[in-house]
Amino acid sequence: MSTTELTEESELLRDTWNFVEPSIKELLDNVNMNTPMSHVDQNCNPALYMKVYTCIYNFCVQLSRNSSNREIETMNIVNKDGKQDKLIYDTSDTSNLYMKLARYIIDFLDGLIPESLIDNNDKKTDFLNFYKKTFPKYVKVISTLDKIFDYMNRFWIESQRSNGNPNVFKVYQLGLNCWRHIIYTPNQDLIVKMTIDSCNEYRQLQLEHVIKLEEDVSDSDVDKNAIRKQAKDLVQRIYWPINSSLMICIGPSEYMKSTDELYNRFRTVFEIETQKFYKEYSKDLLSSKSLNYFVKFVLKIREFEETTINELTKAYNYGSLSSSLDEVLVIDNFERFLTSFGDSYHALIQKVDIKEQASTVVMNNSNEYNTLVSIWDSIKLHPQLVHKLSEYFGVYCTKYCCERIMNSVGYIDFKDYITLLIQLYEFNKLLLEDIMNLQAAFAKVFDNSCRNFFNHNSFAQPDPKEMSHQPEILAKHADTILKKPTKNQSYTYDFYKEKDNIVILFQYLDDKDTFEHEYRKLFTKRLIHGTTRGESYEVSLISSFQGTNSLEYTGKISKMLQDITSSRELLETKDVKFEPSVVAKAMWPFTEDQQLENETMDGVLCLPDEMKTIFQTFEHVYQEQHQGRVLNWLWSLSKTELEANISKPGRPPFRFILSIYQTMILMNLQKTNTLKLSDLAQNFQMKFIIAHLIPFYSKKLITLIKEDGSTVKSIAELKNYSEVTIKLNVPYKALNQSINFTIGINMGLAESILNGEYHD
Amino acid sequence: MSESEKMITLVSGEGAEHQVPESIISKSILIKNFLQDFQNDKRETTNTKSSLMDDINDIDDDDEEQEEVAQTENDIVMPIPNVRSSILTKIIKWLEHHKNDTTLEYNNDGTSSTSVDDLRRTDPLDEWDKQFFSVNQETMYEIILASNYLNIPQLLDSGCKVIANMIRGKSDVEIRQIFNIEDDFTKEEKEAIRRENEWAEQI
Repeated sequence: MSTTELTEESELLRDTWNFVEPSIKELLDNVNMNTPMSHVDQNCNPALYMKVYTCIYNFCVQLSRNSSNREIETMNIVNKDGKQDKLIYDTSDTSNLYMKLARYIIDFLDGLIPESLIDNNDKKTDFLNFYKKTFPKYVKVISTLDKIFDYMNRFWIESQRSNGNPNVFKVYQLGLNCWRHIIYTPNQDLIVKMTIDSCNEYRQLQLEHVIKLEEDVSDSDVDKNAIRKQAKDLVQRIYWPINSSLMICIGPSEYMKSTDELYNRFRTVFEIETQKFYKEYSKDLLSSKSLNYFVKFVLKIREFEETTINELTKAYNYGSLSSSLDEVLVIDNFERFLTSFGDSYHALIQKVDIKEQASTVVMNNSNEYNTLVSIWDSIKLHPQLVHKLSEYFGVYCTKYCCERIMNSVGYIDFKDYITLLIQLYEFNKLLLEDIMNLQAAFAKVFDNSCRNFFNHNSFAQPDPKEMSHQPEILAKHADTILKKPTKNQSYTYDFYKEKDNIVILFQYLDDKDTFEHEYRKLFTKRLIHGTTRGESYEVSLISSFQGTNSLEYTGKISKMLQDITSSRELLETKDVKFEPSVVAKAMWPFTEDQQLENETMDGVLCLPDEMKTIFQTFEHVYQEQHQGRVLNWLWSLSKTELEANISKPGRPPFRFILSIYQTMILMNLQKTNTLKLSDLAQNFQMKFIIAHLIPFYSKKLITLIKEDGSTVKSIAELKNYSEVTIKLNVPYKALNQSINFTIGINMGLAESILNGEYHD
Repeated sequence: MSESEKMITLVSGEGAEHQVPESIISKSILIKNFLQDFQNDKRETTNTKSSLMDDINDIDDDDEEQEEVAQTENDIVMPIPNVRSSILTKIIKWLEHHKNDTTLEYNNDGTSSTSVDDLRRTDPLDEWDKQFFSVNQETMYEIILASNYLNIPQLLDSGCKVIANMIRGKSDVEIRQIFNIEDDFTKEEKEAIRRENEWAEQI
């Protein structure tokens, strides 16, 4: 190395330098590889500090007193690798002192690299060891130098720089700059390569021994201390070279602001090597471990890279590395991720049970659940993958939910089926909420899947060629929860919970028209027979349908309810309770049979006098209020309550629940005790009479007597009804005091008797 | 640590010792730098920070050491060879008076950001300081020099303000008298300077 001769070295400079040189040497010597760091910390004592500082101070003050003319001259420092740094110094003694210091540092660094490491490729393996042991100490030492040359920094260098000389640095920066030119730049490629090698070695070590999943068994035969020691060494080998490349990069013009020129050279290579490393690594891992393991491990790798490795290299502070890491870890293996997702999801779906809360399946942190979480976490930042996964989810969801239902067919009734659907729905919804945060793409796909497996599964649609029975099933379920429970039973359903469930199922129902029709049929029964659980419940469900669909949709249903409520107040006589239900014909789904019946028993005229007046009064009142409306009586839907004092003397009277026909027959019998069927046939169709007689006969309220005086043994004999007379059995014997004769009215049976098709 | 505050021993040019609490003398950036770097480092590194950073910084080949820490806890004796005892006493007095001042943000080299610079320039000289500097010129110069040497920006500012007040509104002759400066300009030189600064006289 050529040394530039210093011009006219003054006595003052020589004295000063000779005075401070031993101290500088003492400080710099600590940079030696074998000096422990703790020693460097203590190497500057107050005496040395103040001694050198004062000396430099005196030197500068002395010079500023007698310097008046300054020349500027260009000087060259030639680097080891032949590059020339043009430095402009003023030739005053201060600049000479500065030059002397710079020269001294350069010479020192030149001698710092041990002989064994220079030009010996084999031994260069230990270059990083040298580097990590010297650089931190060097930084410390030059920072001390910077402080004791503070006066020179403050006055001479500041003024130089403000006079437009950008090549003069404060002592600290000067030191870093020298390091760059003497140590770093000549060995740059080696440093970069070795740092990356160390980094990969460190990764291997950590991934193999330190980073673990819960399911990994800890291998106790590994010497943890040795690993820790090795890791520590590697960490230093990575951190210091990289960190130094950032520290020593001082732009010549903007002197506080460092550029990343050196670091970027490292980073470019590092990115490529990282990708290479993990490509290889994931290949190995996949060949030795399960897919689920891999999926979860990917998250660990990513965490490790983005925290530890980033802390060491800062490489992840620039976005590109994260994405290239994902490329090899996630994107390249995405097909496998999907398979794993499907398998885990399938396993979870099979755990869904009607007896268990859906949330327990989701929440109990099973292995499969964690796999799903891991997969989601690793892909969620890639919109394309998210989209793809959502599509797959849709397919899996439909497929596996249908499968789950199919497995239960034969074991469950329709109530269980509804529960199962709800459980599957809740399960999927929870899953989406918990893991995917209900991302829009998934919500949409999920809706479609629900529509699919709600309507088309092997329970609701056993034969794929036929229509789905889902609407009927749902209507039936609604009826179940809205019906008054039969006596001695309490309500087994939580209405509001079930209502919510019905609304969910209703939302996804394909054939809403069929449902509406079925619903009205069952609704009619509830209203006419008064078996509804309560109007407020009915209203509540109807308004839910209205909310999820439309006002028109529930129009007919609402009208039905309205009819019932508005007719209730219409008429009440003094003695007999009369509750007419005036309903709009078009809204109510009466069967043809019922409609036909009203024509045959035309008018109120045939009724016994006791009742006739009630009906006539009502007709009169109603016609007055609503002129022009046609009133049709639906006799078969009517019900009467009758008190019959035909029990043994001393016993309370019976209470009968009867149809209007039955009432009429009993009223006639009241007067005469016997009644010929042929008399009745004059006013009524025989099939109705017989249909309504059968319950009397089977409950032994009446005896049927043929012309020859013998009793009828079988109802088949009623074919020849004209010869039969009805006789009331008084006193009547029955266990119950209250008897419902409307049970057992059977039109079909009556018809078959008349046609002679009925045999016992 | 805070209970009995650490004392620093300053040794003046004549060799007299002055005990100063660490917090007070820290107004001298020169001494603060020393204390920070060479005394407090230890405590910081052993405190928090991630274990990774510990690993990174622990570059020694472990084993032994560590016991030497106690040694550094000894009293610190700082020689201040450029300052005479009487001046050092005055400066310590000034430091004690100002110990509770809100300190402005100075960089370690005694410069400051522009906003702080403005404050330094416009802040009027405080009464106590005026009193403090009412000494003979020789002493005043020595205080100012010492504050420059010890890098105590506030004291240096005050000193400079005192001098500026002495000059303000005075003619060249008066200024020469105050500071005992010899008039070594020739007639021509004076004329040249006057011409150069003509614009200023009109203000």
